[in-house]
Amino acid sequence: MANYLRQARESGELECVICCDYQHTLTVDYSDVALAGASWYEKTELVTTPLHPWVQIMQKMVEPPGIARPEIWIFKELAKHIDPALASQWPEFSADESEAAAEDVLRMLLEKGGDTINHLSVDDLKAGPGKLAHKNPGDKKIPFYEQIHGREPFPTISRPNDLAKTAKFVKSGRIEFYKDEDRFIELGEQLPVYKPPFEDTEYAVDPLAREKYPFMYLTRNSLFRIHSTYANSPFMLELQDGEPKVFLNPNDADEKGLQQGDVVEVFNSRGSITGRLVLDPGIYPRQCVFEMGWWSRYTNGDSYNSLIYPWINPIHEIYYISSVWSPNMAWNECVCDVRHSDSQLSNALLPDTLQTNGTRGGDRS
Amino acid sequence: MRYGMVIDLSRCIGCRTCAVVCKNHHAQPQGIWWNRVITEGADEYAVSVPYSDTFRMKFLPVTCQHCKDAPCEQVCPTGATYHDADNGTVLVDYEKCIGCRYCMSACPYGVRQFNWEDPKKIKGVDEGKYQYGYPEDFRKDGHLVYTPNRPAGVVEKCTMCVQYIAQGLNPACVDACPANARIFGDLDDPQSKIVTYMLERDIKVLGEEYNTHPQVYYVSAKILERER
Ligand code: SF4
Ligand code: SF4
Repeated sequence: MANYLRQARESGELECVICCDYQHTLTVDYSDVALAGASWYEKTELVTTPLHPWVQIMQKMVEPPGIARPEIWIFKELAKHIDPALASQWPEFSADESEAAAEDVLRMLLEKGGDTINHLSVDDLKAGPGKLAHKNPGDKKIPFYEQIHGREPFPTISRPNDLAKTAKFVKSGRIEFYKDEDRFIELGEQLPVYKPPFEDTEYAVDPLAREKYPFMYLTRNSLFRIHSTYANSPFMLELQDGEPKVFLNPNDADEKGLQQGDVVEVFNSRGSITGRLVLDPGIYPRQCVFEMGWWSRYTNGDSYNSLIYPWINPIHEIYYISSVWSPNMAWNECVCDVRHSDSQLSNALLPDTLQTNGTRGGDRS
Repeated sequence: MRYGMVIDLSRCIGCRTCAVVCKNHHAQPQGIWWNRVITEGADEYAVSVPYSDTFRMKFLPVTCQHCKDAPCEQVCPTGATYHDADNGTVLVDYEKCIGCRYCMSACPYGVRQFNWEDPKKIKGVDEGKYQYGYPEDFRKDGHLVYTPNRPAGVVEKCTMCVQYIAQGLNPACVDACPANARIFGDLDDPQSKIVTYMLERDIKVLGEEYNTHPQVYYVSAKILERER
């Protein structure tokens, strides 16, 4: 599915792909038309997260560079040009008036957003972060407060789909530790249970994988990115020597005749990725770690996801709401092997200064 | 007044925020880091180090220790490296530095770094790329102690954010540290936050044997034993 857009464009199913981005992503490369969007601090944005009860606006601090423009203006213009007859449905404003237009939208969202947010105004948010209102005593966010003290049934409040659409997932109306449902019973998962990795997936499909690919392939998060965001930050790249790393347990590397600093290829029947080997005694034996988020421009055009197969835990198929919840892939359900590679790593830095200075931002002193 | 800093290693999570904000605020080009975070015993980031029958990662942020008895100052033939008369921090006058690099070999902490090339070129400043860092020159007692693009051939290091502390602000790493592991203040003021913090804790300096008397102090990391 991840490749659908590209395939649909190549097969002609899609006539034209237009994207709006503030970085030169692969999506930009695969698009017929790329429009330069504004980035953080170059436009008005609302920031909120389920992790804490604060809402913030990001206000424009600097002009977007070059021909970059706020998306709110770009998409309004696109809509207007695709079908001028519908132009009356959008407010008319120039690119320079984008902040005012974004604030109007924000004002409407705040007014109509219900009683958790309608006490906040745009001016409040301009002055500082605004806190969502909720019924908990002491204005504190207490998980499940209404459920426990007000005896309201589970599941808790449901967004964006209403409770009627999600309640079916918790039929008892309580927190369910024991899942009394057909599929759970069929798969023996009524209670949390350990199932050994790869037995129902990799080894079931290819019994030889047990010997051919003795390592588990883990694509953990990196210290220097948030997923793939900030992957191009020169400082962050420098902290990693501009090179992707492969982490192995020293004993495993020894067995394979590999040494710290070797360029190694991690591969299986589906794909391959190359990085510089780092030995870490804290890595569990038979694990091979590659840090996710590297853009393919740093990995010779390869993707660390090329090794992964989208296995789905059949239990997860029970939970499905179109466009909101769907089963997720088991990213780490993946086997691989590691071998010495002759290929060059595409170093993202100009290494001269690093070499002449002999100093690095990383750990070597 | 004598400015100093405490780095509490029992709070440090090794995130390198201090290194990155320092680099950004002081327009350090590629290859130059005034502030570095070392994982003791490991030569790569995110690598664990065997400790008794388990593993650990112990982080050590290292920057100029602003030594009271600074070997870098003693060997400097031009007086480019000097102690600030008001607050005792160690500064470099970029107009006086001749790039002989004696200070680099004298400093036992390896924190001084040399500009082999014009930083402007490395950063691509003239190619219209993003220019970062405090944008203006800063002089203290007539010395040029900060300039966004250092001339090629000078030595540079942490200034304790000379341009900010002169305005009564904290050094950038102190405000940015998400773990509040860095405490800055006047070591001569018994009421200051830094002195109170130090009195309540067991304080160490790096490389005591060098007799440099650093004004950057450390609180040791606690070792949390795992219950079995
Ligand atoms: S910012 Fe703070 S927590 Fe992070 S590495 Fe530096 S001192 Fe440690
Ligand atoms: S740490 Fe090094 S550069 Fe800093 S004052 Fe001491 S000797 Fe000089």
